[in-house]
Amino acid sequence: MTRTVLDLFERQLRERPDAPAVRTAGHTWTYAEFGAATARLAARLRRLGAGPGDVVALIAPRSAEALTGVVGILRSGAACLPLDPDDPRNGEILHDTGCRHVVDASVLGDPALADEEVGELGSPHPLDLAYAITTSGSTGRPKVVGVPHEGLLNLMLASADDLDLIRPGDVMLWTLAVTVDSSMHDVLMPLCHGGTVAVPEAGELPATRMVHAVRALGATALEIPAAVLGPYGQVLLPRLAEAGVRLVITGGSQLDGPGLADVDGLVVANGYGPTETTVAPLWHRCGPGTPRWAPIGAPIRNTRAYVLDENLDPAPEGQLYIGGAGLARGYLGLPGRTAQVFVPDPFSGVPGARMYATGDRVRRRPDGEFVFVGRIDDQVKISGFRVEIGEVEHALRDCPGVVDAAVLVRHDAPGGAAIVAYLAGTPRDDLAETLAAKLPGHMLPRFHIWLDRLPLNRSGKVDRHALAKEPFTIRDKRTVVIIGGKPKLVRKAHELGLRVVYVQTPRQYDKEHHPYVDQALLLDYMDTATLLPLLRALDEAHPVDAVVSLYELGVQPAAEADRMLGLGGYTVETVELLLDKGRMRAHLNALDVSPVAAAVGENVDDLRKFVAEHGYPIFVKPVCEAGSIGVFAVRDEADLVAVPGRLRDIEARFDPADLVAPLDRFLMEEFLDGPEISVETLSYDGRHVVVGITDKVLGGPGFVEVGHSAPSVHPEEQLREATELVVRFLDAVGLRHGPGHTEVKLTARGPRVVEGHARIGGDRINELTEIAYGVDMDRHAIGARLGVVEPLTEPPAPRAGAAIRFLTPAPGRVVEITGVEEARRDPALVELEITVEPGGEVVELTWSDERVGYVLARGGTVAEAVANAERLAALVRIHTEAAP
Amino acid sequence: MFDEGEFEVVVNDEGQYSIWPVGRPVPAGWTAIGHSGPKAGCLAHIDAVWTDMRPRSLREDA
Repeated sequence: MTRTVLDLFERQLRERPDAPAVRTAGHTWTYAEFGAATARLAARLRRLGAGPGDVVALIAPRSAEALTGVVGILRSGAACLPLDPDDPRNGEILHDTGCRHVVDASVLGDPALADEEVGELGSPHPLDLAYAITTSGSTGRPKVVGVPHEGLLNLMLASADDLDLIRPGDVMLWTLAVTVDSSMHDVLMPLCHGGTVAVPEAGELPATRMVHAVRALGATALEIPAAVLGPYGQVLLPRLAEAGVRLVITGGSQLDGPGLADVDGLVVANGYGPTETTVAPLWHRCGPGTPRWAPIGAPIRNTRAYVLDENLDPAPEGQLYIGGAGLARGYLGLPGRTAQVFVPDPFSGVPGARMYATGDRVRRRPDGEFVFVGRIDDQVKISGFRVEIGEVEHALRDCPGVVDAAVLVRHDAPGGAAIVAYLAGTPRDDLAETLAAKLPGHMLPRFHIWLDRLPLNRSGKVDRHALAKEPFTIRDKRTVVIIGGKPKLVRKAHELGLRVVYVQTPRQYDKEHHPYVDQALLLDYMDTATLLPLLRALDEAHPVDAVVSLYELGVQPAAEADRMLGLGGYTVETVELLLDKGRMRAHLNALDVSPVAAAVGENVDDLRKFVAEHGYPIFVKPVCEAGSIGVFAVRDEADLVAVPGRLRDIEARFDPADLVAPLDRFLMEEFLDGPEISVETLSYDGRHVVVGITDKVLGGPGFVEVGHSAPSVHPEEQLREATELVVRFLDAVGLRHGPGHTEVKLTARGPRVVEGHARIGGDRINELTEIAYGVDMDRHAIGARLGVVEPLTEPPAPRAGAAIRFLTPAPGRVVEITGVEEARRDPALVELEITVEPGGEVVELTWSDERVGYVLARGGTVAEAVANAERLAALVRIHTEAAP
Repeated sequence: MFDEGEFEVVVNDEGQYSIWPVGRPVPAGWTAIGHSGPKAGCLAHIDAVWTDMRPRSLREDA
């Protein structure tokens, strides 16, 4: 009666003692010779106490001796645990599995083996283990899968009788490492069925040497990993067929390649299965109908395969569960881990049956064969070896200099699929060496990519999708594209250690920028049809990490560029919503966030209608502008009829390039009365931090700010309400990343949003915030996304006062400017800027850019700062005379 | 799938342990041993009680 593979092997020993069993380049052993050698090793092991129920380690590279080791161990009745001589975990594995016997080169080469007296060999029970295979474990410890004879015998019988994987007289070339479970199949199958195992020289067997080895050893069958066969099959298979090969067994990963059934006389058999289900319980025989993405096939005899959804109900696509004869006993010494994946099988007719959760997502074809879709968890296979990502990460984190590590298998790596390590910490030259002492070769990452820190996703886990996009080029600098804005931005980006690509209009680029700019792109960046293809090309040559604009007109092009390059940042939708103040009001009103009556109008009739509904006064402003362009109050009929004319006058004064949109449509809003503040925020993936609150002083004929000061002096309760409103506002408009500048009126009915911007406030708000709160928002806006500036965790406490006052001389021709030197000597002065010279013109103030200068002052408190700013603003006098 | 929710520890006639979602009928040939809770707790319990992983029929034949 056939109970185990040993019975099959013994039958071959009896039936064909003179047939070749094992062949190397220099020697051939008959079944009688190989039987004797393995019997002597088995006798030695039995004499030392090994037998059924024991596990004996085999530590040897692929060789004829190793094959003697495998069969000798099995014939002792014990289970064979093949280990890689170079695996540093061997000691740990031997300890964890309680393995007391080791067969290595010293045992296999021992001349005294010849003297062993062969008595009765081991006779294992079908439920005794035949072999044990080491796989890597997600917690950082290796798992050892114990496979009983029952499953191995079932696979052997199916291989010969059902699958035509072995015929008497076949010569099977042993191509894989001893430690891979497929090796057990590849070497035992010929020995159980009267074939020959051909053993090539130890070491790697690249595709180029396979044909040579096949010819030299007369092989008729061999296993080629799917990762090799997929890409090289079309070239390799005709040459193998010509050399006499009738069968190529493949597996280990998804088989994806053309021409697998194109060669007459040669068949490709694709085997699928985790170690836990005995080598390969599913097989697909490639034929003319086999697609490139080959199916993993149908279950062999005594095997069940189910596709189940998350509720364990049968589904057309889902996780693959395997039950039946091939199930492993479990993970040696790890009952909990075993129970987690070997679960009750509710579909089997056999009471108490188990099934193994493969972690593979598959789909069942109408013909009953299964197609692999993807891994459910992180476990991956590289070159036929299973690698649990967690174990590699665990080893990396244990290396000096490494603070954090994540590991991905990248199929787009140069040279093919590779383990890629993403590391944060201090790069060290000896990392690869340190790691090699901890992990076997097949688990070592081929690429190390150092990052400032690992990106995290919303749930606080490492963002593997972001890592998968990291370029392989080794870069010491991150690249930021800055669109528009002042020289200080490129200087700050440069000072953060970034590579700076500056996008500016030709007329605004000058020698103040160039010391800080690595590359400049000079064009009208509002013309995104021209800008975006140029940035795309730039990104392909030198990958870009972020596109940033802190200037109103650049915000939308930057958001579009970020979206095109998949870099995050503001969404285009948010930016557009904030630019279109009519749409923004409608959106906020719909969400009941800061409700303000508002409507878009084009003419006097629209104005009359709005006034009829809401009464005087009302606000009128352009739909799409910032910088207080054309914002005014309409208090009576005379103001009302003047609106279209005023807007036309203003439009006529602007270069169209400076306007976001024509001013022919305007927004009418209910009049908001009360002091105005602006709330500066930094957002990190939806978490909003209020950086500072600034008070605004309005003046002049329109609503142009004449000054700001920080911190705000309004009552704490009012400011709390205002900041809560701002947070709701940011959520409502979808501003999740980067700086925000929200202007708020503190009305008698509570705070109301005037407008919001996806950038830092103008008017030196950033400088005020830096003095008052110690936070440079520019640096955060540029660097936080790239990980070169630490995110704020909470609002900073105010530490000083800061105030800015704009210089507002009477309109006319500038005659003389006095008081500048005295002001510059004042210790309270932070900045003084005057943009007119004698002979120049001061116009009536219509928008922010028509201001001719400012003083920015500090103080111990905001009151001191305001007093200092007003004193200095009065000191600097721009004398004008009215135009004749 | 076998991640969320409450589980109970079950055992079959071969003395092999596993877990099963609470509220679903336990498959034939399996018996709940009376320990239930989150997955991690059930697996820890199995680590404590499943001391010999050999199937009962192997132990009895041996």
